[in-house]
Parts: sequence; structure tokens; C-alpha cells
Amino acid sequence: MDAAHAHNGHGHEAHGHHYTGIMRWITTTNHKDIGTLYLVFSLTMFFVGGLLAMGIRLELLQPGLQFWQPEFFNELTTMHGLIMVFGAIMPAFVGFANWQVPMMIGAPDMAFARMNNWSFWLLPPAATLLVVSFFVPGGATAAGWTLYTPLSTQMGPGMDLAIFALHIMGAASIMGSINIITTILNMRAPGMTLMKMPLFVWTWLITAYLLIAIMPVLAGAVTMILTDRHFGTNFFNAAGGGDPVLFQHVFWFFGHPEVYVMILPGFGIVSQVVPTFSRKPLFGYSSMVYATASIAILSFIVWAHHMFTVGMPAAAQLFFMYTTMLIAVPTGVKVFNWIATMWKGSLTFETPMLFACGFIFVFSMGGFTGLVLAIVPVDIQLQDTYYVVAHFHYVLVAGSLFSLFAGVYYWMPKWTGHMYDETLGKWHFWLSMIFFNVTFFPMHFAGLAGMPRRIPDYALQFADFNMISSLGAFGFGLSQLIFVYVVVQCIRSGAKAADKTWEGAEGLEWTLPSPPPYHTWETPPVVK
Amino acid sequence: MQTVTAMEGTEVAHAAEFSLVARRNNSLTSSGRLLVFVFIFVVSVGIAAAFAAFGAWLILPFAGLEMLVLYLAFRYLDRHAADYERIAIDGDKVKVEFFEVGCVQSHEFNRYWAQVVVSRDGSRLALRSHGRELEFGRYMNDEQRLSVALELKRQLRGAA
Amino acid sequence: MISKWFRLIAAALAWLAAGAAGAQSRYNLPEPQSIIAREIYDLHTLIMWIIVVIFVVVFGAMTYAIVKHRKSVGHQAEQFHENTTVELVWTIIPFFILIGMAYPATRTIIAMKDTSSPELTIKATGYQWKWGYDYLQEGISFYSNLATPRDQIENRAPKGEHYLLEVDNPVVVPVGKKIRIIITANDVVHSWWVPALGVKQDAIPGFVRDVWFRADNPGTYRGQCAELCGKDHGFMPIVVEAVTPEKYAQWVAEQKKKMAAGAVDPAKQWTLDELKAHGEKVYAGNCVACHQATGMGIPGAFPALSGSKVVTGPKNGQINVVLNGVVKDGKPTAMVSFKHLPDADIAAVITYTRNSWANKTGEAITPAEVISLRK
Repeated sequence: MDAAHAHNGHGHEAHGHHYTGIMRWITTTNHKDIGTLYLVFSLTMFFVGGLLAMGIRLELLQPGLQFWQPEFFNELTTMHGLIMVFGAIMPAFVGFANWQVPMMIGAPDMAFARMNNWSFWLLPPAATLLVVSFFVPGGATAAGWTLYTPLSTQMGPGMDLAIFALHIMGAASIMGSINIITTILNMRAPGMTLMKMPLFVWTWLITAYLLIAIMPVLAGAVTMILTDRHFGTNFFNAAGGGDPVLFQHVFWFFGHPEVYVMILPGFGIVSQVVPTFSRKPLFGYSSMVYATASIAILSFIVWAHHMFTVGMPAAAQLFFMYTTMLIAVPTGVKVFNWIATMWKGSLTFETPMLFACGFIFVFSMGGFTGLVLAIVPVDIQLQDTYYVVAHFHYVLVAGSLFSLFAGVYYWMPKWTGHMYDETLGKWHFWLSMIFFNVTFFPMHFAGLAGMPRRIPDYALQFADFNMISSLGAFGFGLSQLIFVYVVVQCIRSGAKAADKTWEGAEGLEWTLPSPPPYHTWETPPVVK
Repeated sequence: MQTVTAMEGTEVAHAAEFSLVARRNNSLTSSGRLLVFVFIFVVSVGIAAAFAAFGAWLILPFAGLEMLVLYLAFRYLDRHAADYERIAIDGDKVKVEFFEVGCVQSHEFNRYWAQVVVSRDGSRLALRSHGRELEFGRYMNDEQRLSVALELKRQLRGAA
Repeated sequence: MISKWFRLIAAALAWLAAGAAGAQSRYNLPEPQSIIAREIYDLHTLIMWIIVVIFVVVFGAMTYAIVKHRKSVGHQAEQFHENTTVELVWTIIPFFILIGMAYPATRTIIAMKDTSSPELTIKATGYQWKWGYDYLQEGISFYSNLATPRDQIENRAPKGEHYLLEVDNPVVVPVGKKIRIIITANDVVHSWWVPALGVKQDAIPGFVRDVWFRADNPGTYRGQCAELCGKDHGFMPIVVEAVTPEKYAQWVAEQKKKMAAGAVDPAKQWTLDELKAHGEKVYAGNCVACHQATGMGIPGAFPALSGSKVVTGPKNGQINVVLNGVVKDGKPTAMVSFKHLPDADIAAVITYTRNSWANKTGEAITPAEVISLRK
């Protein structure tokens, strides 16, 4: 009798007992709630990181030191990078995975609902550690987001806080990835074979796999910094027989796949959005899947292209140059496929499509500069200059961030049951697009002309480029406030959205009511 | 959890008048799960071992920890792959079976005393008799629980 | 009318040609001054043109679709979703384009790596935050500090032409000779970079790397540290002066004379004021970046010397700190060893710190006291 109750007790956690208010959010195991939490968290961190970026551009508005001391400037650049990568972009994509993956494959929830809750709730403490580190003696870590040794060994306690934060976020990522992989592989509805999965699900399956492969590497790397700092080990300390360059190898072995972790789900989102607004099926579905997989595999053998100036043998430089150039092939296939999807379609340009087209356009420019940087001799000139800063902002801001915006505008009507304000959405796109290019395009020139990155003050020939960049950055920052307004307005007072919001939308999620009920897909749908 | 519900009238092995089975949906077979785990394990541990060979051995324990979590996750899936719940009505008995991780727990009710308890939104379904209550329908969604409740009520009443 | 168009087109072509011919442009790499820098420049130009062509083709197609295949112009969607031929073509063509780029790049890489048979070898060492140079054959050694005055950086004075790109002691090299630079670092990773010479090499503590260049023309070539190395990463420029071989020989002779004169007679008796005056210079060259001109350091990062227990305490304690650096929990801290400085410099700078700001010990430290504590 009692046994029966105990037996049934835990199985029903996911049902019944809905807390209200804050407790609902803390205890929730529902994938939609957790997806929302991830998205709100990442939006918050996006603005924290953005504020730091504004601080950076403020100091660089004019030559000379006006606002910050060099040490604090380095803290700004470091924390901007760490917060944007680990606090804004990655959690935002996990939020998308939580909302969309179960709906798209016809699963009632994630495979491990309780673990899903834990992996989210690890993030706020980690983010707090990062932000608090600004206020400890010596300030936040100023060693760059790459945490190169031995500079990171020199840092104050802010470095230790950052290391702990990375450990916690890494643990959260690992749990999240295991959850996503098991959900996608084990909980697909009958008939949803792998090659019928929406491309967003495919990209997340591969991303989650990358995360599982690289997160222990990051955890190990930062732990070795920690033991080098406090426990007398000499992994990276040349004086004790260690090798500072080993850290760079370890870091970039994590770091390069990490770059694809931040872009592959973006590819997935764009591959959902473009067919919808072209009213045409995605061109080359299977080649898209193979291209994604090839990019992921190649990402493990290109890491040292971040280190062409450390002085490796010519053979190593050649190997990493060739593998890096190879990535252009699958990436090109993706871009060609998107354009072929649009070709002879019946195109309309609602905000999600605008962001998706913007993504294809500016991401490709980032890809082109990536190709330039892959050429070792040219990279020798451009390594650690503003050209690199321009390159990775083209792929991360215009790439990852624009794809996230496309995704939010695309699925927000589904999530909230309300339409957003199309006019304001378009304003958001055009202002973001223009100010993005005003900010980052001149950085190519500053880099070519010889401006190193991570400097608080610069020679006079870079002054014009920097002023344009700074003004553009302020405009870009302000434009993002429109996004917040659009989201809040959509949730509170948007017009009712139809179940199938977009005329050309295909996929399981659009057969559910908008917003979907608290639990979806407990009756497995049948995939034709 | 995902469910496949089957309402069977008479053809169950022990020839009950009414039988209902609800089980999880697994799109991965048992050997598929093993294959996925082995693949991830080999790559992750391989990477960590390669770094250890170059002196960065502190990656190994983290990879090990991660593989442990991954193993536990897959073991959970595997052990629970065959879970199901069954209600069988036969003569004046209502038999409820919970199959979990290879063990069957059976409960028997008297058909004439058993009552179906269901919350209005369908979030909870139970059988009640002599003050004891037994929850049922873990692998179902709210709508399914409501329709199962309806069917059960009909079956129990039909006997009366 | 026609002539006007003709002039316009001619002007545009001339502008493009100028770009291709490598005329100095603020929108491109700096004008190359060595064979490697020129190869890099040409490689970059080649790749940029390839990219421009691909860009025009790909985004021409996208723009065409955006304009012509809109719903608003009444275009009906076709439902094709694959075409094996097309997909194969656009997978294979990029391969050939890539090979076209990789071939010249490979040649340049191999040329860059050939540091054999140099005519002059110079060792460059990165310090936080200055460069040290040793001319190994000539026996010349010096430090190269930022020469831009603090007032310009803090906007109290108008900025000079070479703001932040000027040093007190530039590296002087002869034109047309193969120069090999051996690069290492003393504390953290730095990077020795002179864009016009096409040279960038990380300086890694504990490891030695080398690069080479041959300057084509006399001139002053400026670069900066390219790897984040802490607080003053933006304030440790590199200046290379390429001069004729005759002028170079002259410079070497001068440097040797200066070094001989600079070698302080170990028997010299110093007065307190002499020590303080000399110490102030040493302080400005070695200590001011962290401990600041005010002696107040930077709270939380670099300790104040003014009122410091070490500086006002026993002499030997402070001499030890300066000679051996501070090691905390078995790790070197930002206070590195300064034992490479001459005894007189160490004695002078310690005397200076013990008699400046709030510190009024009135003590003079003699070079002999420093020698006695050297290990």
C-alpha cells in the first residue's frame, strides 16, 4: 500500500503540483519553462556584456586615455568576451533547443527533465561569480577571454572566480548536451527518422556532441591554470619545466569547436526560416546534414590556426592552413543551399526572413575574412589585430546573434501565442544591420593598417576608424533596446497568433496550438 | 514520457475482459544506445588521453567524470526502456501492474468496490478502493488520462 | 559627354591600378619594405580579388532572387529541392579555387621559415612592458621603452606625430642584410611585430623562436606588441631603423663607446644625492609602469612603495626583493627579478625609493651592498 504510493510518487513530478510565482520557475521541469528561463537569462547577459562593450568603445572613441586605466580596460575586453560567449550566445541556443527540439521531434519533454532544471539553475550563480569578480581586490581577470598563460597566472583572485564560473557553466553545458542528445536520439516520434529531422534538430545533435567532446578539455585547461596558480604545479610555467604554448593548444582545441557550437545551431535556425519565407522546401537537405557534420569533424583538426604566430614548424603551419581552408567547402555548400532555396521561391520579407538574409550576407563576409586569415603568411600580418576582431564579430554578432534574432521573431508567435509588432521588428533589423556594419567594417581597415587588438589607446592613424566604430557601436547598442520593447509588447499585448503563424511554415511545431499547452506531444504524432 | 497506449479488448495472454497497456516510446534500440555511448566514450577519452600524453593530464579526470554521467544517463534509459503500466479487468478482479526496471508490482482491486478518481484537468488518475488509492497513467498526457478514465468507468460500471 | 565618361572610367582604372600596384593606402596593409612583406601583400591582394569575384557571383544570385522571386511581384514558388549535378559542382569548384590560393601561400611560408645564414643576429626579449635587445655579435645591449610622454597619453599635451609608436632606443639594422631576430620573453607572452617588414613572432617565456627580414630601403618602421601581455600591452612599441651599412657601423661604434662609458666604475664612491638622481632615471625606466611616478602603485594590483614596510624596513630585505623578485606560493609574481641591472643601478634605485615621497630614511645604499647580496 505505502509502497504503491512511494512507487508512484516520483513518476508524477512532471505532472500535477504546479507551483506558482517564483517557485514555479525554480522547480520547473517543463522544457518550455526552462527554455524561457534560458532565453531570459541570455538576454540579460547580452545586455551586461553589451554594457561592457560600450565601455570599451567609449575609451576607444578618441586616442589617449579618457575614461579607464589600461588594467580596467583589459578587464572590460576579457569579461565582454567571457560573458558574451558563455552567458549570452551559448545559453540562448540552449534555450532554443529546449523550446524547439521536443516540439520538433514530437517528444513530450526532454529525456531528463530534472537534470534540465539543474543545468539551467547552475548558470545564474556562475554569471554572478563573473560579475562579482569586478569587485574583488585586483578586479576581474584581465588576461583576455582566451586566458593565456602565464598572464592568467599573474592575475588576482578575479581569475579564480572566472575559473570557478567556467567550471560551473561547463558542468551545465555537459548536462544540457547529454539531455539534448538523449532526447533527440531516444525520444523521436514514430516515423521521425534521423534523415527526416528538421535541420535545427540536426545541428543541435551535432552541437551537443561537440560540447560533450570539448567541455572536459576546457575544464581541464582552467583547472591546470588554477593548480599552476595555487598548488605549485608547472603545467604551463616555463621556469618549472612547463610549456606556456601547451595551454594555447589545449585552449584552442576546446576553442575552435566552441566557435562552431556558437554557429551551427544558427545554421539550423536559418535553415528553418529561409524555406518558410521562400514557400519552398529546403534545397539539398542531405547535403546540409553532411556539410554540418563535416564542419564539426574538421573543427577538431584546425585549432592551431589561432596560433600561427607562436612559431610552429612549417609542416604544422601548412597542415593547419590546408585543413582550415577546407572548411570553406562545407560552409560554402550551406550558403549555396540557402540561396538555392530562395531561388525561384515566392519570397516575402517578414522580420525573421530579414534577419536570415542579413545572416547569410554578413556571415559570408565573416567567412571570407576567415579564408583570408587562414592563409598563414597573411595571418602573420593580421593575427591579433582589429582585422581579427572584425572577422569574429562578423561571424558571431552577424552570424550567431542575427540567427538568434531570426529564430526569436520566427517562433515567438508560437511560444507566446501573440504576434510581435512587424514594423518595429523591421526597424530593429535595419538599424542593427546598418550599425553593425558601421561598427565592424572599419575595423578591417584598422587591422590592415596595423592596429593591435586589446589596446586601450592607439596611434593617431587609427583615430578615424575608431571613432566611426565607436559611434556605430553606440547605435548598435541602443538599437537592441527596440528588441526588448518588441518582446515585452508581444508577450503582454500582441495580437492573437494563428497556430500556423507563417504561410509557408512546415514542421510538427506548427500543428500545435499557439502557445502550445503546458505539455505537448504526450501523444506521439505520426510523421508522414 | 512518451507513450504508446493500447486498449485491447480480449486478446491478452491471460484472456482478460479488458486490458490497457501504456509504455514508453524509444526511438533508439538497446544496441543503438550502446553504439552511441561507445562512440562518444572512445572520442572523449581518446582526446583526454592524447592530451595526457603531452602532459596535460588534468583533462582525463574531467572526461572520466563526464563519461560517468553519460553512462548513468544511458543506463537509466536502458533500464527503463521496457517500462509499462497495465490495467486488466477480469471477472470481479481489477489487476494493476507496474513494470519498472525488470520488476513487476501488482495490485488487485475488487471490481465492485473500485472507483476511478480523476482530476478535472486530467493531470491525475487513480483507482480507489477501501480508502487506498493507486495512481496510474504516468506515460500518458492529460487528454489520454481523461479518456482512459472514461473507459475504465464504463468497464467497471458494465460489470455492476 | 563621352569624354567625360571616358575620363571617369580612366580615373577609376587608375585608382584600381594604384591599389593593385601597392601604392600606400590607408585602407590596406602598410607599404611592404621587405621581400616577405611584399609577398604577403600580393597574396592578400590576390585573395581579396578572388573573394570579390565570388562575392559578386554569389550575392548577385541572391540579390536577383530577392528582387525577382518575391511574392509581391507575383512569383510562384517552384518545389525543387535537390539537384545532384549542381551540388557536386559547387562542392568541387571551391576545391580548385582553394588550391589556387594555397599554392603561393605555401611557397611564402617556406620562405618565411628560412632563417639560415643571417648576416646579423639580434635577440629581442619581451618584458612587461618594454623590449630588450642584445646584438649578439657586437655585444650591444639596451632596453627600448615607450618614449611618448605621459602628458600626451593623459591628454594634457597635444599628441605627437608618432604618438605611442616612438621609443627611446630603436633597433638599428643595416639595409639589405639578412637580419635574424631571436625572440623570447621574460615574463608573459608578448609578440614582436613590425608590419612593414612582414614579421610577427610571439615571444614566449622559456622558449626561443626566430624570424628573419631584410629591409629594402632605409627608413623607420614602427610596430607594436601584438599579444596581450597585461596592463601596458598597448604601450610597448617596436621601432626598427634601417640605415645604410656605413651608418650602421658608425652606430655600432657609438653604442660600444656609450656602453664603455656607461659601465660604472665599481670603485666609485657615490653620494646620497648622486644615487637619488641616478635612481630616479632607473626608476623611470624600470619601475614606474607598475609602482607609478607617485610611488602609490595601483591599489589591488601593484603595491605602493610610498610608506611601504619593505621600502622603509631593513635594507637587505628590499635589496633581496629587487634582486630576486617576489615569489608567492612558489610562483613568481609581477614583481620579477631585476638582477640583470648593474649593481649601481640597483643601489641607486633603492636609494631613490627610500628617500622619495613619504619615505625619508636618509639612507644611501652602496653598490657594494648589492654585490654582497647577489647569489
